[in-house]
Amino acid sequence: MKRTDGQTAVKSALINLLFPLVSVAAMIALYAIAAAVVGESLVLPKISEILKEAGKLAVSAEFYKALVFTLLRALAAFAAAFVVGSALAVAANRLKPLKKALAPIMTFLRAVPTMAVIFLLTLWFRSVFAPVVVAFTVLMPLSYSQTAAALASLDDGIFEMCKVYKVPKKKVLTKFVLPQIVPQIADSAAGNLSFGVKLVIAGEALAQTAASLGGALNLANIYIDTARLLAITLIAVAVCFAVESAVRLVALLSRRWR
Amino acid sequence: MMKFKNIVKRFGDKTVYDGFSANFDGITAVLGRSGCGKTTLLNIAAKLTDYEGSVEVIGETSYIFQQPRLVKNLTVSENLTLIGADKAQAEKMLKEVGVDGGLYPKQLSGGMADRVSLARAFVRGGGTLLMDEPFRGLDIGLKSRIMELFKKLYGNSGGDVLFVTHSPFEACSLADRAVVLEGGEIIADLIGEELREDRLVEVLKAL
Repeated sequence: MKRTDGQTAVKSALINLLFPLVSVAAMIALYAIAAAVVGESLVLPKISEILKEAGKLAVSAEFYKALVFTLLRALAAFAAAFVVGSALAVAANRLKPLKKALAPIMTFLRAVPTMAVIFLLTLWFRSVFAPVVVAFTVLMPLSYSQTAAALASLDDGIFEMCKVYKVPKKKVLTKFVLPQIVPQIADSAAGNLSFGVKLVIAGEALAQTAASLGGALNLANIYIDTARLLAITLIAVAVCFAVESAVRLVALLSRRWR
Repeated sequence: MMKFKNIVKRFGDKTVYDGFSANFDGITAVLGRSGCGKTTLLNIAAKLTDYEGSVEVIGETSYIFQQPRLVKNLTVSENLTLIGADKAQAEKMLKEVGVDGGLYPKQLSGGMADRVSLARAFVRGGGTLLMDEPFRGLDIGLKSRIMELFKKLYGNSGGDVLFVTHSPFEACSLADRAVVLEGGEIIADLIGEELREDRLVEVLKAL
């Protein structure tokens, strides 16, 4: 019997919702079993203890301040990396010598171990700025490569067609170039932003930045407060998820525009 | 008239044209072996490739490429308005070639996409038209219909048409003149009574 559209939609919704829920439930169950087996709160606190700590954080003004500052640092690093990386990619796409000159710098920045970058930059910069510089240094070459790849994927044949038919440059940009590269770039940007949050937190933890999620993690680590450490981690994961979803929504809207 | 004067074109060590000169008026078919420089000649006329020498073409240029080169995020109709055609003109021409203007390129078969490429060139009309194997992907019925449309639009337009083909039939049906290229030179130039399928086949077989 042929499936109706309604049945297909229900099946699709079930697959999209059910499978992720099952995997989350499996992770929680696995953790609960491990915590029960270990039976030591300092190593693996019970889920109830983690939730209790998360509850405490949820009503703490200090924690919200740390969360907002961490997000602002991540956003600043992401925005700067996106603007600089994309601008360099556009310039390199037009100027071959610049592309050649940038190649070793970008390769070096991509290859250098992230932890080395974090250690060095937390030594060189003030604790407030170090996490931003760390995230910028790692995200900028990523943005550069992603924009360069999006530009390289454009069909040269279309540019030739536009040249022959004398299509105005503004039209080429708005009707061909942007609609094809924006969704690709927005997709990559979503991943970059949540990666940026992780980098900023790592930088903050090592630089012991005041009013930061990384600083809070560092303190919980010093006091061996594992439940608090995991509660902060859970909240950081939720924040990354929310941020990434917001950017993916923008990517989806840009596809509709396309 | 389309004028090529002392054209030199090289791809690395390979010289395709070394001082090529020719004038083309009306509808000219260009034939020759694969790789002899037929498409390169069109690209030189369209100024899509570097070359030495000079080329003169009349009016605006339209080009039917081997690949349709449609913008995939635009509808078929928008692909025509992109080059400056108004919507009514675009729809009328698409009706002539039998493609729905509301479709996107990914919804088209290869033959339909080729027809949109033809419509895009035809909608501009006049000037200079360059065509690279324009009827290659079409079945016999469609080919005959589109060839009739081409004759209607360009037969007495006064514009110049340079079209590359491997088909002596197409050359004799549509062109006022046919040239055969080999080694960067015209080795046969058939016009008027001389322009016959059997004569072209004979020249091409001898290559």
